[in-house]
Amino acid sequence: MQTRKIVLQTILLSIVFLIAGNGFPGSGIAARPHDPVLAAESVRSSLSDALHLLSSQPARSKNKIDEALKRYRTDLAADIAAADASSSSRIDEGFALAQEAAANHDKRRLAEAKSQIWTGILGASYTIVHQSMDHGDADKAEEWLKLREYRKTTRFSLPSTDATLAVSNYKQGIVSKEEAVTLIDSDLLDTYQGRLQKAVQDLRDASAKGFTVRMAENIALIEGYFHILAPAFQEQAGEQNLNALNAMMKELGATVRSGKDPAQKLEQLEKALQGFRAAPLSQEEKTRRAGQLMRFLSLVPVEYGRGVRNGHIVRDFEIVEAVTFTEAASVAFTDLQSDLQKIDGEKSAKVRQRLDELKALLNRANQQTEIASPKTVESAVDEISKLLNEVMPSEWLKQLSAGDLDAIAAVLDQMEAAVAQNDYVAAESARLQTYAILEAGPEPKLVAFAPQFIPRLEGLFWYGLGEYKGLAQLIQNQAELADIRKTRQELDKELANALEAIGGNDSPHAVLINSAIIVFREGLEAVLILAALLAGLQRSEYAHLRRPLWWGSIASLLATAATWILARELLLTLARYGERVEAVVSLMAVILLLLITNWFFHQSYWTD
Amino acid sequence: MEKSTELRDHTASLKQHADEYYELAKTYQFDYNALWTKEQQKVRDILQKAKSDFLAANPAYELMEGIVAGVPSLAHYDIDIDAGISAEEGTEDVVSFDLKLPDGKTLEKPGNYFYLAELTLWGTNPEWIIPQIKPDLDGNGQVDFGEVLPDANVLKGISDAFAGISAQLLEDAKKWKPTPSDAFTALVVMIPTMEEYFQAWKESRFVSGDQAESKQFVAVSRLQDITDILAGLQVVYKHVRPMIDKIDANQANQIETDLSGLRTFVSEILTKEKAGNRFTAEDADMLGAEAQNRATAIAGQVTQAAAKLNVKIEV
Repeated sequence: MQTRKIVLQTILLSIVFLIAGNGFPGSGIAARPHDPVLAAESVRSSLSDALHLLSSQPARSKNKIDEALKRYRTDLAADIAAADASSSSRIDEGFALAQEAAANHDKRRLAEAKSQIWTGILGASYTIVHQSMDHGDADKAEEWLKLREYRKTTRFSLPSTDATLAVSNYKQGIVSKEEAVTLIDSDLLDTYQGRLQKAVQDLRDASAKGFTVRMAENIALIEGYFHILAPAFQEQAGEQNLNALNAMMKELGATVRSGKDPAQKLEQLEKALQGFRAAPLSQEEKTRRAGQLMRFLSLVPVEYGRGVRNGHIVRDFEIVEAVTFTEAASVAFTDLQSDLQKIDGEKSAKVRQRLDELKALLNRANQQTEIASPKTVESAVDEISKLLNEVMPSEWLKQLSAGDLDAIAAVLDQMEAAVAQNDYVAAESARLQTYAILEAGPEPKLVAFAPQFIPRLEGLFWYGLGEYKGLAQLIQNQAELADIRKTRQELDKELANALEAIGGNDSPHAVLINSAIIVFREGLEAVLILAALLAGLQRSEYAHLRRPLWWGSIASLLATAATWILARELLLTLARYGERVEAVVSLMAVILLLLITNWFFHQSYWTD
Repeated sequence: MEKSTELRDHTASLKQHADEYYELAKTYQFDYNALWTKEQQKVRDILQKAKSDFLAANPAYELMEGIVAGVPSLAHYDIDIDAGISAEEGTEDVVSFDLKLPDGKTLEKPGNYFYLAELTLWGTNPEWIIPQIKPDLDGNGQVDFGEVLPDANVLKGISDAFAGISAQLLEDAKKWKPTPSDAFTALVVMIPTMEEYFQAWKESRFVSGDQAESKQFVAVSRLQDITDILAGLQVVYKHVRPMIDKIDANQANQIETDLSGLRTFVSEILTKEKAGNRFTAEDADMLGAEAQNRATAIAGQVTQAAAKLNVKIEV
């Protein structure tokens, strides 16, 4: 009852202040918000202070809440109320709750109020950005876009800049409004989904430790972030599922607020959210994730096999790398899971389960509590790969090289990190691994479509290209990180150019046309030779030889097919030897050509 | 450069005092009972000075840690000096060195130098002190926490190497030519590490008291380190701010305000701690989460500015 009264008072007061000219009476502060981000940060900071002061200095805590409310009303309330009534009312309720909590010295309720107000402001800011873009007001969108959250910086990723650059590019006329809005949605929704997942994790941790204030703070965050994501969820899963999820969310909130263990409800919530991706990936991104998933996965047994001998860890950094690749594969799979679930829910769930088991197995090895044999890891990865091959759309599998650049970049980062720690053995291992990805992935396509890049890339990987020393040489000489980074930057550029050059050749049509040209060229050569031979048999005394010539041609076709099958099997068996096989095959080809030429000269010239 | 020189000087002084202590112990054939009985005053003076050296070296490093750890070409120093763990503790971010002691023993990848020096001088690793002697080093009539006789052999080994790497860092710092990419990278890499620092604070004696899981951060609160690191990052930001000002003065101002707000937030907690307030583990978690949220927001803003300026951030 008291809460409702305070809510009404707050709303009425807000309306009065807004009508009175968007200002706080007697504050003397300019009514028009100049910088929503600074105002929002100030609100958050005051509420945070209020929370921490509540036990020791309740009067100051109450003042801090008043400060936050005053700043909100002065600088943010008008825009928010005009753009997003739902968020505005959540914020008002939040302030009412905060005042009530302060009056009752209730730290849990105050923590909850703080999260509700903050996520309400974030939601409203997102709406204002959207509306501003719809109205073509890029300046306002740019201003409010700064009032947002980011994903935390990690070893592998930076906060996304897609939305910022989208608005900036829209202002410059580089992208259309629709394209810009898609990028903004994708960036912000992805960020808030990440924050939602973090809040779920934090709630679970807080519950395990019995931290009730933290639990209250996180349940309100979960509710707040989901409020932002709900329209996307509804669009993808339908209204019925959204209602079910809202009911679930309510139950979770009630469980936490009544002080019960929320583990079971959290599990249900996570299950309901499984496969939901707030910012849907484009086809291109899905293909790229699929490439990353398969490539990262394939590297796990390679790393693990290098790190374990006879049941003992001999190179611990290889195990760390195996763990890293498994985690990266798991992240890529999570991004694709909703699509894969639609194709085959059972197999998709099995992949998730097997990936989790693999992660647990590798973590045990990393902590040296239980060291599985490399064979076990290989079998686990094989099983996951098999399942993925069965469930993934064929167009993703045909274009696996899309993830190669990411895999190469991730391993080159590890190489640099190893050099920074003076661990040149690990650096060399990472370099070789990158080279293996290149060889197994894009190189065959480069040979066919953009061979000019091969010597350049090889030079940078091995013994130098122009002014750049090769990575192999640099690592061997234990060069400074700055020198290694210089070559790496050049390598990044070359790789990007090379992959761009073959990028357009990923389509089946391009492959068909290129293959057709090669076969046609070789076929034409054969036809010309046959024509020349037949021309030599025109005289009647040689007429009896024409039929054997045709038989010989047919036999050669059969021999070609047999050779193709044999050579393919042999090359696949020897694929792990990479370039050495190429060298041996080239040598054999040279010998064969020399033999044929020798035979030809003897037959055609010296005999006649 | 100034802080790097300070670090070199304080660690050189630490080495000098460790050498004196070692020589003194050697004259008694490392019979610490005899040493303490006959040379109490000298030992007190030397060890108190060695502790002061540590306490002076610590903020000198923390003030520049944001740069050292954030700049890829210098980051390996941070692992060995302040952030690296021992090979026993894990496999990621392990220090790169094995420590050879004067008696010929080698400690394999034992952990970073600040950690080693702190464990020895304040005695949180019982294997590196003389446990049978309970010295009252400050002469206040009681043996307080951290009053121990270190094993001279260990203290000298650590101090020698610590002084060496500090001198080496100064030499490399002189050669380092900062680029905008370095500065932006330092800000983006170092600012968002708040949760980890608060976790270290939570596990230290300052929050957990005698139940502390961590042997480290007994001499100086981790909060002090955080404020020092943020102060260093404010200096870095001051240098890149003009670039951001050119493209977006509001954003430049916002980053500065938020950075300063984050430092004030941590400083206020530190002030309360110094005034005798004790925080619970839940308090530490909540404060850490708040600091992390603010830090993530700042790093996000810096990343946006770097993208607009087309400055590459190397993570």
